[in-house]
Amino acid sequence: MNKDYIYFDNAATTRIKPDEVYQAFSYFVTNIGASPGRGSHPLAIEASRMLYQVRKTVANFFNCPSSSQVIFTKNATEAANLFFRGYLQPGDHVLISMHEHNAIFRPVEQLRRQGKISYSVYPAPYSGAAWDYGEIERLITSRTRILALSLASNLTGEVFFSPDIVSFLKKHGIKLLLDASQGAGRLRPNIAANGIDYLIFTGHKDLYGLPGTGGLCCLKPPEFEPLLQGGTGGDSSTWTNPDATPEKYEAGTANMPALWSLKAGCEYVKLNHAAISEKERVLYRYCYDNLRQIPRVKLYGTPKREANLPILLFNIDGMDCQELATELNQQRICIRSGLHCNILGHTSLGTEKTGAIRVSLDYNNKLEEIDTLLDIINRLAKE
Amino acid sequence: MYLIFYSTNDVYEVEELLRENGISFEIVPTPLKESIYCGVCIKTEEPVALAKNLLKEYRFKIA
Repeated sequence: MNKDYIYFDNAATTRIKPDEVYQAFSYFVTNIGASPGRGSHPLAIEASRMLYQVRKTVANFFNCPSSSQVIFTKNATEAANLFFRGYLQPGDHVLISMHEHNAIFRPVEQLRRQGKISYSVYPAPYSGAAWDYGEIERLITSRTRILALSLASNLTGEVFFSPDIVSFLKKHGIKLLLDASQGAGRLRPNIAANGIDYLIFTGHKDLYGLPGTGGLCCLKPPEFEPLLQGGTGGDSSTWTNPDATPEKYEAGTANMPALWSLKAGCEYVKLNHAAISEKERVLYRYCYDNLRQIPRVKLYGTPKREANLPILLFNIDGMDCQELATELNQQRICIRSGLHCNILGHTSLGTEKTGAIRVSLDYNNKLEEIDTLLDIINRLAKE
Repeated sequence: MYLIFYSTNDVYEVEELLRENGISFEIVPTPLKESIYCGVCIKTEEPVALAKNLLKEYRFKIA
């Protein structure tokens, strides 16, 4: 089945995981199968021990000061909701960039509609460009508590985060929420060294975990309210979650098979980082250099592409992107078309009405697969 | 003696710490009278001072 499809939707989910990830999943479901923090029998203890090891691995991966400051959720969206709903107080103001994914935009917009907070959208520069701090300063109010920023674009692969933003924010007493959903595995943001107050991540993309894992990492011990109330495994006599971090933020049974796989994914990425990045550079450059030469192909994003993640966004002039997607689907090429859960980003690119085609590459792709894509695009662009 | 923690994560972080320091211990169910804490705790016969010294950073009690 793998050979039948060409998979270029890795920015949504990496499809092919390292063998170690599948083995970890299989090990957990075959040999453990119990819930961490629930019970004191040997399998529950082993599951709890393994959960701690996952937490430690993730903390090390992002250089988070303590494993207890890593809160697991089912994905980055849940982590964003946990953070905004727990951290923000009535009347607070938030800054979100013009590139933010709906996972950031929608929770903030919903809180605004409920009359709880206000927010402003600020311009963030594309890869390598300078920040216009004056523009952001004009949007800051006395109630601005958080600036949310994507590590990188899920549309164009451009990298937005630069450590400079942290010192600017410190000057104004504003905390940073970094959405590392795209690029966590490739860019490996360093929480302690860069002073990133809060970082959200998802496991199923370039960390090579299985779907159903994500989290919020905190520079300092979190002190806000949890999103969910329920069983935490400890102190079952209290009527709300007990005050124990990180468990109070993780009510309900953890997705332990996927979390144990996430550990394997993080370790794989750490060990093979240079080889993965190098291969993806080659694939990305090849795809970009050839796509841009096809008449009628319009590529979006900055031409300064060396630092970008291997994601390309384009249209064929005069052709509906959904039509193009249908053609590619029929050839068993998996790309994603439309608005990619990012209406703000598409609006800033001017593609909010047309949508676009996204090709997102991964280490496991091959040059020949890109050739197949290019042949089809070439043919369609000539019609 | 029992080392009883609020957080389950701390139990396993401390387990690693005790192992690294050659302290013998066992993970056991938390005595029910201490149920305001997490479901398992660490049982050890090592001197209180040693355990306390190693665990300065943690929220726990000795029972």
